[in-house]
Amino acid sequence: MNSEIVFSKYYGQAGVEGIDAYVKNESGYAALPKSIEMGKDKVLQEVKDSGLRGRGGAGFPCGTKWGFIPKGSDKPKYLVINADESEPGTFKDRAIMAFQPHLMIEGAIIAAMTIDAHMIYCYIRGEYVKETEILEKAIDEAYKAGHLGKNVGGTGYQLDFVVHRGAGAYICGEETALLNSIEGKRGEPRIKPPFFPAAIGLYGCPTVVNNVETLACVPMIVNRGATWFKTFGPERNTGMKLFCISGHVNRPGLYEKPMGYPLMQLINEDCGGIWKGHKLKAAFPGGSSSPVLTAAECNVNLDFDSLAKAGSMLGSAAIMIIDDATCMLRVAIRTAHFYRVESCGQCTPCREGTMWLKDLHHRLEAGQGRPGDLDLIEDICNNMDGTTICAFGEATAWPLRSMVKKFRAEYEQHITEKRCPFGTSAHG
Amino acid sequence: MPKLTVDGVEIEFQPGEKIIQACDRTKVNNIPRYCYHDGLSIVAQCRMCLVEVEGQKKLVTACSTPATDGMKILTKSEKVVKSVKGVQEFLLANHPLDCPICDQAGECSLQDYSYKHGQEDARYDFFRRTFIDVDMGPSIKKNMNRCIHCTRCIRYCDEVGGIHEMIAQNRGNSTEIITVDNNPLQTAYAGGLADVCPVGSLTTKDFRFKKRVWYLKPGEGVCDGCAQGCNITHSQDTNMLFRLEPRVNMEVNKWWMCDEGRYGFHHVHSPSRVIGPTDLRAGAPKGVMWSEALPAVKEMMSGAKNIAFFVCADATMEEAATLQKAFGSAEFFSYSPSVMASSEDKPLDHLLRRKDKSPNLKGLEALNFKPYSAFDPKKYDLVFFVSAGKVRPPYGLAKHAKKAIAMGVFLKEELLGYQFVLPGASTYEKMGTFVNFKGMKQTFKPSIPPVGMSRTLESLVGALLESSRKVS
Repeated sequence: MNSEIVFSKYYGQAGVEGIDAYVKNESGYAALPKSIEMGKDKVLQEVKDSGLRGRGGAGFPCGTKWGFIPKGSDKPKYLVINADESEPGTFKDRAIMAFQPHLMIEGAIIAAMTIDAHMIYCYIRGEYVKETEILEKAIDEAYKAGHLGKNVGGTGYQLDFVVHRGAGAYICGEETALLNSIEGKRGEPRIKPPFFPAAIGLYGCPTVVNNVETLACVPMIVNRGATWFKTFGPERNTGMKLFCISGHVNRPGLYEKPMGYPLMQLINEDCGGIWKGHKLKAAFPGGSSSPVLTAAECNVNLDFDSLAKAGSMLGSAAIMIIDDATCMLRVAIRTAHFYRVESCGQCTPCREGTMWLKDLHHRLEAGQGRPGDLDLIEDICNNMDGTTICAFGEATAWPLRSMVKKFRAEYEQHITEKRCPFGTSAHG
Repeated sequence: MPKLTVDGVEIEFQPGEKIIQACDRTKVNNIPRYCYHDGLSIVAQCRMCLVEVEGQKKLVTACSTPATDGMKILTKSEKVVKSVKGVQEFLLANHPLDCPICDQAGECSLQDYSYKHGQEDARYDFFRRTFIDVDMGPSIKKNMNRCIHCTRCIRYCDEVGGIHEMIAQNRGNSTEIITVDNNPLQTAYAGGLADVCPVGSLTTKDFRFKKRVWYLKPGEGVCDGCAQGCNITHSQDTNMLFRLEPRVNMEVNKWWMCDEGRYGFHHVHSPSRVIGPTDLRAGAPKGVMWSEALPAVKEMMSGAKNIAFFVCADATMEEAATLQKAFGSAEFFSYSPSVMASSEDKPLDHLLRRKDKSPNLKGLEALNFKPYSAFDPKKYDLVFFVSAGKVRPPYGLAKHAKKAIAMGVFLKEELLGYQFVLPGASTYEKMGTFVNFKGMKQTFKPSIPPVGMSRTLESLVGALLESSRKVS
């Protein structure tokens, strides 16, 4: 499997976030003049050819998204960077912003010039205080170096970069809620249609919302070409990818692997296997909103299509590993509780369903579950699935339903024994 | 015209219409809804109007999805029925089910759709979230427990009331709909919140606990509060008027009415209203029978050389014409409490309220009634002050007339200067026509018969003429 460290080579080292280090180590800001020379259409074609898919969760082809921006519209256009990174278990964007902010900034400048935007908003998670400081410093450096401002790269193109800090809501990572939040409204997702903010987005203008990692891929594609990018990973799932491994492995952390890397190899070889000599029980391959994989199902490759085939999703590549000393119901409680607190409360199924699911799970764990409760959980999940404005309903329903289905015996044990079979010492 | 199919029935729609609007206009299907309201912006939050579009995997909301040509919509497919049932169950999860003590019962969307789309048993068996009732200013009382978070009220305040004063506080299941900083509502249209609220969460203090709604008999009326002429529904039971609500008329008031109009009917059943003929000649008011009052008034009329009619501009066109026909030799003046002539009328705010606080000044002017500015009470031997509804002559004006007779709706504390009171019918006790500031003629129907011994102006004039014939 072809592999090359393109992101994480200098992670953890001091001083690599500055513009000088970026220029020296990673031939920084070489892609920008090249992209100006290539012209918009060629850059767009190159990104389309590379097969770069959005790294934020949905895996939508990046070039296609840029192509949705209506040509000839006299409205201003915006590029919005989604750096909210609120999915539990995800910490890849944080690393990029802390150690390679200029890589993202350069990608954003190229993207903005391609879609003809003169304004870039970066919506950064409120808890990322240090990262915000680093990013703002990097932006100042980019302004000083002439990569941002009134005259980008000597072309006379004006481009400004604004950092907008979030206030800690999970839902503001949803792209339309994010746009509302930037506009100063309640962070609630907008109704569909329009399905993409490409035509009606921020302030009602054409907008592209891209993830940090997606934009960080752009300078590489421009520098080294779509063909190079496609050498990593299987067809339609190209590129190098940052995987965030958390949970019960010996060496959790951020791993850079090509797309399509086998999950078991990642767990056993790179992460040093399951901790304390325990066995693998389950894994969430794409953050807390992805359906769970049992140990037997974990023989999958980590890319969008393979995981979709396995009944789960890559999401933001936040892989959470669960060992066999863990009570799955407690994992479910964590998940249910998280979604109950983070539901924006806009639409009915999500607002009431998350509450109900949380209560049911707590009741089961306390040993007061009733025989019909498991079917009820599944039915509530079914009623939430596909009936809400945004994907939050599914993000709640899918993991909880998959856990009931795949670990039903364990759930039933809670009901029949009227207690948690793992006792008080279990993880979860 | 483009067409779409709803459950196999083909309907036409206008380009730009949403599915629910096309269905409503053609009346093919009553799609359930909570958050959708014709007069408010679309948010698609309640998810009650989910329908299936053939060829699409996910269900869509009929309120937010534009109709497209050739669209095939299913509203009764298994998937839709199950999802709508689910939504209904979710809504009831935190709803207190206190219908027996809830004022909305009987006209509650949640009740109606529960019967139609819900399931018979409740599976939610946890504690429901509870809030304390909140007073939201002079008009509205809020019961947050019953709220289903449709946010119609928030949008109503923003888009109709014109003041951003209601907000959703907190998030998710803890969301509370509240006024900003718990301040009382400022809008002059606060009563409309009770109309748009699909459940019993927002109710008007005026009507709260007064009557179960299924006893009420609605009728079509026109508001007599100002020159706008808002269309209203007046509801009565056992000849008692209980409430006024706006009636949709897209040319006049759309779906709305102001609080001034909404609560402006309490003079009808006011204990101080004079509801029997009253003789004031001796100073102290003395109730008399019509058989005594009519000859006495006739006597006063026959002794008078010139007579004037001071008609408050809430008299209907029919009443004004009757007076002119019956007393052709007299002089007629029109009166509005806030303007001298309808030309001075202007809007008081962005929506409905107008400066002219009488409903028919324009109509009386068309009948050549003279303006109030030309009226000098001292010039006439006898002046009839006619109040036919909410407008009453200036207090004390009658004192300047040599002889004054009050005709119509008067309150006991306003009788300074009158020799006689002949009680008449208010706007809700008769049928008639008003001409609003645009010149639109609007006819309304009575809600209740005249209160007490009062009688309509037409019958009063008829009796006066008749008894005068008898006397002469």
